[in-house]
Amino acid sequence: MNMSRTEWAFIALFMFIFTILAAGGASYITLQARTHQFESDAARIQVSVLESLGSSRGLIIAMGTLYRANNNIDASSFSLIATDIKATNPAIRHVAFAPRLAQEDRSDFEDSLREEGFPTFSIRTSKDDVDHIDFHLPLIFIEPFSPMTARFMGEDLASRPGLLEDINFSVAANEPQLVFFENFLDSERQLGFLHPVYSGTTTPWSSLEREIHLRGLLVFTLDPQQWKTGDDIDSRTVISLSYSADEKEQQTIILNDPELDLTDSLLSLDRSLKLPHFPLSLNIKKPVGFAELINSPIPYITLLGAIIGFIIPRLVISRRKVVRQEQATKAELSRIRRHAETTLQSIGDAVITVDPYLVIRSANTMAEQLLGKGGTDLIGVPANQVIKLTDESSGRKLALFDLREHDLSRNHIILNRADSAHIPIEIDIRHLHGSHEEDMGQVIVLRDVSTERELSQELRYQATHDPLTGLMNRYAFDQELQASLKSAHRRDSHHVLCYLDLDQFKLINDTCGHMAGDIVLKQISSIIHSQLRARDIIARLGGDEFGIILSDCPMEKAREIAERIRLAVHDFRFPWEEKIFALRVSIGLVPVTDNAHSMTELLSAADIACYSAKERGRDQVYAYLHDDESITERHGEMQWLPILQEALREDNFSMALQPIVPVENNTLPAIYEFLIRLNRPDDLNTLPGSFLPAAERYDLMREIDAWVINHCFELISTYTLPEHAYFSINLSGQSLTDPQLPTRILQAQEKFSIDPDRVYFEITETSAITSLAATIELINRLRAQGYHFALDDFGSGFSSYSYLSRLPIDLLKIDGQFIRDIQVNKIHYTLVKGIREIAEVLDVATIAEFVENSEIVEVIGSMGIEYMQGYHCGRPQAAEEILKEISP
Amino acid sequence: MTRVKKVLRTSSVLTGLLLLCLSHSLAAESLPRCLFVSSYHQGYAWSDGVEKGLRDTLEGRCRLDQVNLDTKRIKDPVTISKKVNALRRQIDYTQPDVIITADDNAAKYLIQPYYIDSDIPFVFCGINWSVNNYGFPASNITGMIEIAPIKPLMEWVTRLVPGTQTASYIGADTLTEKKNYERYRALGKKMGITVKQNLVPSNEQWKEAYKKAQEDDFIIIGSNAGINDWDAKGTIQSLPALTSRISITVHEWMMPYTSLGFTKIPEEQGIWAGQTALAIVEQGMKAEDIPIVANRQWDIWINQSLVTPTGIKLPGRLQQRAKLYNEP
Repeated sequence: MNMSRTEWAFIALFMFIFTILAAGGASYITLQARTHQFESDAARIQVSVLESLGSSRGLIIAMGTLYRANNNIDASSFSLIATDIKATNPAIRHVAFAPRLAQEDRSDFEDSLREEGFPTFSIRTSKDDVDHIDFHLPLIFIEPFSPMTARFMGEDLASRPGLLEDINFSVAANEPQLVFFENFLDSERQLGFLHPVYSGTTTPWSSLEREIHLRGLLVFTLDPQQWKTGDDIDSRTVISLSYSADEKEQQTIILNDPELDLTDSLLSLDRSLKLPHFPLSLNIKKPVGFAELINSPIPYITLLGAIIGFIIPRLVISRRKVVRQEQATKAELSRIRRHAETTLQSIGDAVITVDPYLVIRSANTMAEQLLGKGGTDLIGVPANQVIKLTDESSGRKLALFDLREHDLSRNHIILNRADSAHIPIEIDIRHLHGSHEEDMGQVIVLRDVSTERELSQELRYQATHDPLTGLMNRYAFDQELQASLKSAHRRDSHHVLCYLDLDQFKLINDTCGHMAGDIVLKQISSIIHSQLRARDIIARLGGDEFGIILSDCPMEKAREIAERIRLAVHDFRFPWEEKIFALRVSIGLVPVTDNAHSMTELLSAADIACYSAKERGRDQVYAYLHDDESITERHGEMQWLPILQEALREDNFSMALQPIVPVENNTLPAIYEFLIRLNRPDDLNTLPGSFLPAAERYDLMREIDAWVINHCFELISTYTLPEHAYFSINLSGQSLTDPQLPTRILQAQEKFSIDPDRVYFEITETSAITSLAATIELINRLRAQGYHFALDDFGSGFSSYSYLSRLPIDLLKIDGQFIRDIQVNKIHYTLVKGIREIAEVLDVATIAEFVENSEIVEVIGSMGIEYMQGYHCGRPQAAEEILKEISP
Repeated sequence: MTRVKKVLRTSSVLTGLLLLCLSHSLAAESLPRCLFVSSYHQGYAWSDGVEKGLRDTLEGRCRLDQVNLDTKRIKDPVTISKKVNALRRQIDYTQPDVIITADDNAAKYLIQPYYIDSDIPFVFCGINWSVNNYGFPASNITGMIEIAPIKPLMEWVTRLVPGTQTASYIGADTLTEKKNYERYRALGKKMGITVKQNLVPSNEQWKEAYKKAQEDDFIIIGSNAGINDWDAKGTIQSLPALTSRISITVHEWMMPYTSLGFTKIPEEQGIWAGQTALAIVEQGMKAEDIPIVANRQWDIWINQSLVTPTGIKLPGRLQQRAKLYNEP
């Protein structure tokens, strides 16, 4: 859950408060517990001390009694008794006995001890005036007896400062006396009990008698550390004792102070306890350090407080956020509901809800429109009274709620309105269920599909028809052809496939524009269609290509129909911007019989048949036959492709030269035209008429032209030629539009050091006009380098003088068809003469092709034609031979 | 396991052992050096008891070297002198922090001639009765004298046999026994008891003396060392019939022939010597500040077979402390 800074601050504040409260509370409780524990320990220590003191006191009294009962306690017995006493009360550190010794017995006593193995024994008194001492109390038995305590053997206790008063007090009180020893036995400061031992079997009654019968003094020293007998007493407890024999004396403190580091002590618990019956007060102290608090539950409770301090505000914030989210959700739901209602009202489908009893409970605007009723007329009305349906195909009435799945899925349901309108609809019925799957009614969605149907039909039409001509398109035609093929296979019926290709249409399209082309196509389509029978199918297959299926039609009948179409097109004239264009059509026919294997094969055959028609001079009808040699050849033409590709790779071409000579004026230099030949394995050079169509058809002309240019340039450069030797090289229409051609020519020129002035490039009239702008640009560019251009086959195509005037050429080759019979054909004579005159105006020299005899020479000579070419002037020969001839 | 791992593991173990030995050696080096000179030999019961008390006390607190003069078995003064001289060279070389001696001969042959008031502190133990013969006390010498508990023994018997006036001392006819008798006699005199002397050379005479001693209030049994024809079994078997008086001894080995015995404890000597040595080397006390003391503990033995014929009922606390002698 994302939290804002304010919320985090709120949580932090709560955490801080709870942490402080928890830490404070835990500290308070812990300290209370520690204090309680301390009080308990203190009480137990007090009891333990009192018990120990009482025990020690009782034991010293008991030992005194033992002494009274036994006058002869020797060192060994004393050791055993003392060991037993110390074992009974571990707080008793030493047990000692000092016999009372009269001053006059001192020497004998000392001698006796020395004889008994204590050679250095002597009674040591602390007082100087020994003479005034009535008696001595020399220590003789000390237990434990060690080198340390043995040093005190012989010490006269009666001479110890202050001790005699204690002894006298003890004797007077007839009670063991608690005393304080300094530098006694093995300790600098220690407590101890004194207990006088008297002669006789009973303790003397009076104080005086006790003084008289004093036999010796028993001494216990105590070990206060042993008073903390309980293991559960905290080891950090510091115990000190204050000893005070009377109020005036300076108190002497005995510390039982464990080695504690009090620097981390946070606080200290203190108790001072008076010990009844003893001049002692017990001081107990216990430091409570930081480490102890760390080891207590405080950190955990503090952590718990921090966690609670985090969780509570977090829960509060979460709850508030949940409430806010619920409110936001409600608002959003309300908005969505309004939005849904609005959407429902605005959607194009009629949405109607009915209750479990099929009574309409709601209907959107579209439902009102579709059903032709106002909202108030629908609500509360049984749905089947206003939604009346019929099956469009069968006219059968359909009950609304009895509709089956297949009824809903089909598109032929008609809504019958009260106003007699019949609307095609789609219907969808969904059941509404509550959260417990109870029936909540149904939602009926009715969709008016009238528009969709219209659009669907339109789309279907567009998908199968050519938008320009309104004829079927290629796709639909393929479907129909496939169907016809199947029909031929199934029913042995005979159909004919016609393939139509308009001749010269491209010229119209390129020169007059696409709009003119489109108009031509529409008109031609109409013309062709008008020649067909009702059952025939026509389609536009591509730019100027059409396909026709002549159903159930024998080939003869098909020829007849095709011929009609050809003639109709032949007669058609298309006027455009003061020009009139004539069109031709080449038609290929292929029978669709059970011999045809596939649609592709049919189309291929039709295409070839059409091409054959074109080959035969265009404006032809050519019917495909299974044993048709022409078709076979056409099929063979397709085999040229790999041959040409190999020839390009392997240099299997060669060049021939045919002279173009001046007609009369011998001052003009001869021009030699390079003609390509294909070298075959049988050593027969194949003429270009055989393979160039295939090269053009398979788009190989650019490469062949490139090979020709390179090879011609190489030949020219190989021989030493006269100054005025000129050559012409043919360029194909495909090369004219090749933007790389000028570069290629100039590179070859540089490579072979060719003088451009020697070279004429020949281009055909048709190809020049087809790509007029590109051709003009090419000519200008190469002419600028010094090359010359000749327009070939003029008169075979458009013979447009307009175009001729725009082409910057140097020579004009008049098509041979006009020259061949010029001496007998006046039309040709006139036409050639006109061309010659126009060329003269344009300052372009002319060449007559196909000059095959001297009569022609005469005619063209009279016209003023400058050059001639043909068998009369010279046949083509191998280029090397000619070049060798003309070389000086 | 690969060869490399084996080599590594063996190297680790050897290194650990080496470090352990080194640490032990360093720890031992850091301890004070104590030299224990026993007058006798290991295997001699008294000396072994002393040594045990000493070693138990010094265990881990002093590096203890021991030299045994073996003077129980070696009587030749020349040999003893050679041993002492070798010991002196060892002392010069090792410079012990304290030298502990056990029994008289160590004091006689080593301390008295060479180390009175020297810088090396000496702690003796087991010197019989008095150190006067060896020039002690001295500034560098302290220790525990070995006193036979004849006084408490005499005190006990006077309590068991009220009104005693006479006692017989029966022992071998030797110089030592004469000295022992003198101690009893002197003590008896202080206590008002006449102690008669019966020092005999033979077992039979010993029995006769014992039989005659029944006429006195109690009998003091001295050592039989010196009676060469001693018949232990026959004597033991004959005594109950001869006994009507209580007999006492301070010799543990004479308990088969005695009713009540107080015997010295050798471990007490060793423990005291050890404690004193530690007070010197650990607490820095001077030898002269520690008084020479006598042993204060003894074992109490009761031979019930020789108590019963006397008709004396021994006190409970005595019986509780006593070890009961049982015939082998």
